[in-house]
Amino acid sequence: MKAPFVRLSRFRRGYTLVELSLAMMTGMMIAAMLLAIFNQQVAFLKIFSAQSFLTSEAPIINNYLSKVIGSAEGYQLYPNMTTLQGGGSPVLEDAPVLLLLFKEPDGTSRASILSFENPGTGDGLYFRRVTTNGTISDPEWVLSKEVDAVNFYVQEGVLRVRLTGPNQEQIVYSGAQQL
Amino acid sequence: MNRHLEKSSGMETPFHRLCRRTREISLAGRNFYNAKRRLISRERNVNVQGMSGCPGNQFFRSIAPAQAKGWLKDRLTLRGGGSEPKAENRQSKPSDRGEHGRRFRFFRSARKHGRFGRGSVLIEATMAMTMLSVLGLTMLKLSLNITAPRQWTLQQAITDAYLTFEKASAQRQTFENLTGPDSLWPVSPTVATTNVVFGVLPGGRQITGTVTRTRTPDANNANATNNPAGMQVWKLQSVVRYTVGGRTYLKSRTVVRSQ
Repeated sequence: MKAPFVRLSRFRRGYTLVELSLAMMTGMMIAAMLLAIFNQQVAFLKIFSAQSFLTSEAPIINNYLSKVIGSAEGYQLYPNMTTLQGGGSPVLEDAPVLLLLFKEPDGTSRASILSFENPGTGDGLYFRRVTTNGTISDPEWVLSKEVDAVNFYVQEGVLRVRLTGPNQEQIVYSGAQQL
Repeated sequence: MNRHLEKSSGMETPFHRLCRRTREISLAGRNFYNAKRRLISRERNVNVQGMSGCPGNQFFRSIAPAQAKGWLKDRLTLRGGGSEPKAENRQSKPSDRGEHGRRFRFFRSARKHGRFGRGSVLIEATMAMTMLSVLGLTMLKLSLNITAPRQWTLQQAITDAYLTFEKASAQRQTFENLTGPDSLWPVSPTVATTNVVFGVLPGGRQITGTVTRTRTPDANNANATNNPAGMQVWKLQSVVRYTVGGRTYLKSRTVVRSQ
């Protein structure tokens, strides 16, 4: 008769309402703090992602532009590809298309184009090649697709390029002396 | 039934298990198969003043409803302290307090232990919350330690990009413009300071600052002995000033132009 009595007593032991309430409140507070920490980490991730254009993408674009433009003999700015292909007049400001002229060792010239456009594969800064017979090739490769806008302009005789990132951040690089 | 309770508690409980045993006995009041144990007995006189009349006490302290506080003592001492258990319990001293007197002492200490055990939950929960708070603040500080230099790096990149213009402009200007009265780089100690926008941070916030320009002549410009041709050499200096996080930073670029 005693054994079932003891078992029943053990089975009937439980937590009081205060203990359960404390445990639930503690769990909820821990969960809330973990959620806050998670939200904080997500916020920091967004900040890092937003800053990545200025810290990594823009310097890469500038590095390429500095090398290519520095080796060019001359340049012309155009408001768009249509104007360039139609033989329109070049401009000095707010130009997404840059025509670069290079001198070949044999004395001939060749040209290439850097243009911010959407040739059907999304907005980006594309490279086009001008063939020897004067025709403009399709975009051969893209320099960057993260950039939101590219504007070439001339200020005080200096070629400048304003790069606008996906979060409307802007950075302006300037060309070398010979340009 | 009461006799069974007294017997089971007195005979078969080892001394070292008294604590648990008494707890089991106290829990016997919740035995639903024996309602008489936990209800106020109408057959005998009970100490009603010792009852835990407050419902909250009955609920939170695991005392069954309508259970007399100290009912076990009453039963074991007043009525249960007969001659029958005395013979079986040889460790207890024969005294007027009854055979279960020693057990009551342990019963009380057990209850105190129980209270301490429950109270420690609060301490543990507080410690856990404190540790978690410290951990969260540490992680926040670490994240800020990473974020702050990145903000500084962003402004460095943007101002460095602007200085490329200052350098290119100084190299691009004609010598006539450089040395003329409307020169962007006046002769030192005169300086020309202008406000400029270096760039725009993510979100649209502009980074502004000032650029101060001046030019200084070379020491041999006016020296006919060392410079018989009168060739002019000027050092063009541009100093950029901007503020990040309450600190002011200065950067400069110097270009030497010769005629």
